[in-house]
Amino acid sequence: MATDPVSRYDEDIIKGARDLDNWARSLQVYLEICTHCGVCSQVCHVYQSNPDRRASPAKRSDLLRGLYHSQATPLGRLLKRYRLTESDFNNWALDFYKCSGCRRCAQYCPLGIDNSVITRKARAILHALGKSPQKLVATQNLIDTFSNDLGMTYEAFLDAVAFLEQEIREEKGVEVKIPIDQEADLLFVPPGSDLMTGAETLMGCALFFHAAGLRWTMSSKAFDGSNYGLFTGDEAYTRRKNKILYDACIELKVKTLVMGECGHAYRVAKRLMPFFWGTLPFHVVSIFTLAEEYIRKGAIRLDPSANPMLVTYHDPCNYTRSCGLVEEPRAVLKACVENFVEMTPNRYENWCCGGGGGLAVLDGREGLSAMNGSFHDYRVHIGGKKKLEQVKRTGAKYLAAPCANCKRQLGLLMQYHGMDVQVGGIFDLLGNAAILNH
Amino acid sequence: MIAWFVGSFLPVITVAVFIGGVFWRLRRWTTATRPKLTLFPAEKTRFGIWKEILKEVAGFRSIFSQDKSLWAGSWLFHTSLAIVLLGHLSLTGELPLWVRPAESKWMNVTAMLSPIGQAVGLTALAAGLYLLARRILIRTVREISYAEDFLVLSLVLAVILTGDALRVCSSLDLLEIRMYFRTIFSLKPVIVPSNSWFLLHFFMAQVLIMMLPFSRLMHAPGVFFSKHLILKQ
Repeated sequence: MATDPVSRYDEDIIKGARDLDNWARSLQVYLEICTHCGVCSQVCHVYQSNPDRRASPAKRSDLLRGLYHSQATPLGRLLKRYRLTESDFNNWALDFYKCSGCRRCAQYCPLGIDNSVITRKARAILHALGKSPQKLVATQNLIDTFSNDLGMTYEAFLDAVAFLEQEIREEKGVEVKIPIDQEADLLFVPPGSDLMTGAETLMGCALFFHAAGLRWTMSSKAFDGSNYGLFTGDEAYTRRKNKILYDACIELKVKTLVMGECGHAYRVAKRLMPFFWGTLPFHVVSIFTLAEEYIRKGAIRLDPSANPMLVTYHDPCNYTRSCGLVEEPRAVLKACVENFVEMTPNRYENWCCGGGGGLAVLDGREGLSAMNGSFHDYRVHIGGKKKLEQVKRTGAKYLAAPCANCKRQLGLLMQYHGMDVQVGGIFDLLGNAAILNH
Repeated sequence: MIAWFVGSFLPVITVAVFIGGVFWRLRRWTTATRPKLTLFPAEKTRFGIWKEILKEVAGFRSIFSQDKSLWAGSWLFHTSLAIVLLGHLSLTGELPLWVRPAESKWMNVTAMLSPIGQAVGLTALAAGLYLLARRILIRTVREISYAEDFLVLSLVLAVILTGDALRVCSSLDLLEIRMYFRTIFSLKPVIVPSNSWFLLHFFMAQVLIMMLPFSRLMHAPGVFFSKHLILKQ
């Protein structure tokens, strides 16, 4: 019966699910204690934008709960009441790729259940079955050839850096060298996509290192901090991609790894790296922690009047709820602009932009056979609805979102809904405001 | 025959199933690998973690911030159940030691306890009925509810209802019940009270106790585990 798709799935899943006995404490507890009280539905941006029963975090997690109870508990194994077919898994893919893993429900769950952990486990099962969205898989496959998510060659990287140096020269009239592959105190790792679409942000970062007089470098092997393994739940890949960063830090003998404007990249480096490789022989910081310190010490001169428009700040979920990075980006932002307004709610209670968990890079149907409509429509009408309302209420003209995925999602959202709001990073503004000695 | 089954035979099974089941569950949880899942704002010290957990467990703060009526219902339900459970300790003997010093000429604690227990029992019933009604009437909660949710809640309600009936509708011989509970684990033949409300209540309670380790009622110990996972920095 090996050719029958249904029984093949059953076998794969049963094999995987037997391991549930060894599942982490978090999953065991989360899958066994939910009382379906419904608080998570009230705080989920997806459910609030589209009150469909399948969008409730508890209901979504019940998909995995059903599998767990049928395979990992003695009574469930006896009854074998829950048999999954291929079409069930197609529906899993839809439901678990509507959750952006923002962890807002975990913040409010009276029982402390973190549904993002359940989503990631379910996505890992989907990945093992070859049911991850094709775009994520294709991107993951790139690193074995190129060591980055963009398919960028060494020459292309050098070109991109030379372009940044030239732009800085033209815009600011100063000569700023971006060191590559040099032994230094700091290794700077942005999300790789900034090299293609975030030049302003990267220029701001380079200007900051220059103005602060830091001994820094970029690596031609490890210039891409993003890690889609966090989205697909593929832990082996997460490690493989992360190892590139780790090796670069060792090779260049840096004391500190500085992560650029990217939520999930910072989270992987800050929270998972020590878990993967043990105690690290270097520190991991966000560029905001560093910049906040130098601005506070007065080591950098800034002219806020360079940014006179009303600016608001979007807290990336991975910065706040997953890393506790809340006040530093604000401090940097406030030092760079004249007019700042908070959105509500903010900080730990902030709504997700709708692009978390890899959704920001998905546009079409991405190979999900049960997909009705596209990810594009989902992102602009459902995933981003709460955030759109929030931004509208502030009346801001510039939306600072220091995360590559948030920027991508918010840019699309503002453009689609005809909002006169520019979406960008914080270092874009720092680059504008920086006063440099000629 | 029924009295013998409910009062002499079943309790042995109940205690064995309950202790074995809870032990099995907790052993699974405590031996599983413990990932770091910090959710900020998190706590650095053990004291801080426990303070946050106790605040949540005692006050249901996260429900309070989102849903005031659910908070009122669930907080009253759990709190009154906890008080009722404590009250059941008096079945094992005379007044607990810590109550006795409060006795005085102007305050007859012993006489007050009974009506207080009755009121709290009725509160638990009302709050539980509200939670059940909410599950049936509110669409967003109904659509995420399962048979097990209704089963567990109904069973708890049945225990509360029979307990309330026992106090309100029947002439309860407290001394007889106390004598029974003092001797139940002496492994000698016991005299089971013949009050049929008592037998019904006691039977329901035992079914609930046996089900507890195998149901989501384990959220009682579970919340300490899950909160600890996300609060630990």
